[in-house]
Amino acid sequence: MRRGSLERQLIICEKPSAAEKIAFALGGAGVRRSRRGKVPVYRFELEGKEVTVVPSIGHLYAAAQQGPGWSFPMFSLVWAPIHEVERRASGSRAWIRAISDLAAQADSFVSACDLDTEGSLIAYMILLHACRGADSRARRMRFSTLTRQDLQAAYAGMTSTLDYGAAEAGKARHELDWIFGVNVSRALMDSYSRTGSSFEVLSAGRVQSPVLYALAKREAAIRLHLPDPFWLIGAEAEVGGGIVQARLRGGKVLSKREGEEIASRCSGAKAVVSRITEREVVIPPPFPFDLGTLQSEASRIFGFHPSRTQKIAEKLYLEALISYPRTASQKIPPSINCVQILRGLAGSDYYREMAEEILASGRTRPREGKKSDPAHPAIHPTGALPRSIGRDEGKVYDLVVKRFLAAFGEAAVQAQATIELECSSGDVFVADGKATKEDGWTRFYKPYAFLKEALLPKASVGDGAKILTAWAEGRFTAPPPRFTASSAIRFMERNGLGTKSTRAEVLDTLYRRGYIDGWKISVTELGFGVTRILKKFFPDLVSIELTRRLEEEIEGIGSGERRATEVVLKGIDLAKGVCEKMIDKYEEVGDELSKVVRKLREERRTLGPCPECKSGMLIITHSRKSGKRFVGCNNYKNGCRVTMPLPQRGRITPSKSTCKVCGYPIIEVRGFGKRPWRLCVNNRCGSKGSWQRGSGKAGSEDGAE
Amino acid sequence: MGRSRDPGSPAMGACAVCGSPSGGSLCARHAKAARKIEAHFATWRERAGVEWEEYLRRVSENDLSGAWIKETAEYLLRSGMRFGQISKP
Repeated sequence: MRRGSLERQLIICEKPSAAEKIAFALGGAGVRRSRRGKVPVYRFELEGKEVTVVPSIGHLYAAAQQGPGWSFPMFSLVWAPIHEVERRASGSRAWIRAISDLAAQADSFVSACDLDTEGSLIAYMILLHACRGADSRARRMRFSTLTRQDLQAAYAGMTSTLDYGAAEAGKARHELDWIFGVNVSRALMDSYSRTGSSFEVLSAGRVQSPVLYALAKREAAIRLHLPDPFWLIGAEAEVGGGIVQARLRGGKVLSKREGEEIASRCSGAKAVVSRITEREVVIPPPFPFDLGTLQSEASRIFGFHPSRTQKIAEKLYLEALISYPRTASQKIPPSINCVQILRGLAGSDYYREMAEEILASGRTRPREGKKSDPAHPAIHPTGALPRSIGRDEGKVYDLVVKRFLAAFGEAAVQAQATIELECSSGDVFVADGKATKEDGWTRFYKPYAFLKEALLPKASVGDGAKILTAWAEGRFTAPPPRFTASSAIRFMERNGLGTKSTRAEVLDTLYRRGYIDGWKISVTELGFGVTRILKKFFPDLVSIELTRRLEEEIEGIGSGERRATEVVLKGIDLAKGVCEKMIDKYEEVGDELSKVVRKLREERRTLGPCPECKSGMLIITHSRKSGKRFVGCNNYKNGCRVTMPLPQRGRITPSKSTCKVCGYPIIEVRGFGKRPWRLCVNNRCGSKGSWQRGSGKAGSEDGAE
Repeated sequence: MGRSRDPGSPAMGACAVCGSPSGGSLCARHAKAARKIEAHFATWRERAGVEWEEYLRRVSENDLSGAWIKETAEYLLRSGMRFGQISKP
């Protein structure tokens, strides 16, 4: 063996599971596995080269402050090993050391990280720092799936340089996020702590703040919604030998009296079929998923949070079952062999019939959407079938496969008809019907899509009919809908806030900071407070327009239209402007913040209305003598003497629900590392016999909802 | 357990609805809600034929009413404030 004279090539991958796939796709049976500490390493010979494949664990370098201390404003940043920046990333030290050692023995370098800005940045930073400037000698593998065929083609067609545009765009985005995030968050916390208040983690950011502002605006509109009444006139009518449900033509009636009059004069009235309309509605097949649509569909169907869907899809990609999920594309380019994918799917008992039907039809191109992504196609199955798959992974995989199959389907066709019934009073009622003529693509997308049907009896113009009964149904104008995680991500996408990879993460940060809450998002008092302060003192920071413009400029770096330094310097100027304003209003900001935090703490200790005096609120307070916490009514001065003991350990939060047995509030007690425990605060609650006998926890669940 | 501290009561210059600091009798958000309640009364009277108290009761019990609207309607009911009497913050 002349191994000493072979060219030694180091391939850097983004994750361990991707490294394993890439190594075995390129090296086949000749792959030798070993470990450098805890880092897996794969070696094999290929085309006269000694190839080593080594994974990273995502980002190994991060933007960090230059020098020590906690100062503000701070614009000097460096890229440092992530274990020096984040305490929880301490494990990454071993990976940097392993890659650095392997790089010392390598002659050439290849980036095989995910083909997007994050993946390009991960590889660039590793090559620049851990491999001591090897970025200038590195090549780039470009692939969208981890299948053997795609990976071999990507290795054969490597570009001669790194994709510097994407890496620079990623770097600029991280630097701008750091500059805005660190400075504004530090300024908020510093101005708050100068008011003499205790520490509270507060944050704001370039994308986070405009999103929070939009959520707060929607929340305020919901909380200030005053429903106005209106009436809908409905009827049950006999026509063509059948019974139909009908509605008064012309929509809503704005007066109760008028509604009741119409209902009264039409009930039992004779009518005649005055008009019949029929039309065919063609419903085209859906296009394959981009990440946003997949997240939204998984949320609608399975109730998955977008970040959960993204994680599951990334896992499916690493198992080579689907293509790269962080894509904005709804297109499947001709270079992707759809026939081969369909043949692969036909190997499964579950998808065989559908895949074979499409293959037999000769439709080999799916319907495509308008959105495209220069790096990746729409999310699609690779044709590989899972040997075993978890429950949630199975759900997302099935959704991706069926959506892909549906995109090859024919349009669905429904016949829609309306029958108009005219009473002698001149009132006209309309009955709507729908019947499916062709179920088309919906066959492939079951149970995720179905066509609603409502059949009408056969009738002709001039036929007699009878309004059996009519009624005026009171309705109210509805508030704007609450954002869900999924609709919030769609909102961010529409407004160019964040990227496809970061949107779910931004929402997670808002949840973690306590600014928003719930599946249907509600903004907390803290969220409202921070938004109010940002809007009042730093309107630029909550401006969607400003963030979108900056985002477009970052994208311009990737396409070569902008220079990274120019965009970052522009961002620094903006951040400086925000900081200068903040310094001028330091005390004012601090005072406002302390009011907000005071209110938040008040909210956290208020359990709900007192069921005894009915005018006070039950709140958590502490005894001055013993320091122990207990529940008391704040109507104490007016004679309400309700007090109740509380568990002295664990974090207590109001649950916003009341006990079904006694009507007192329910609290949630969270002990460290334990499951939360729901408890009725009333120690005399009928469900707590054992509690009263002094047995502590017993009876707690009985009183809980 | 003995009681040694008053858990709190509305402070001076506090919103009569939520207790948060305010320049007038209501904080900004509840004042806005109060103005909206007054503004919509004409619509309700015309459409549903209800008078002020009944209007406030229905609004405060309506599931579609926003939280600040409900709180303010309940307060207006409790305080017996008549239409047109709502003070500005």
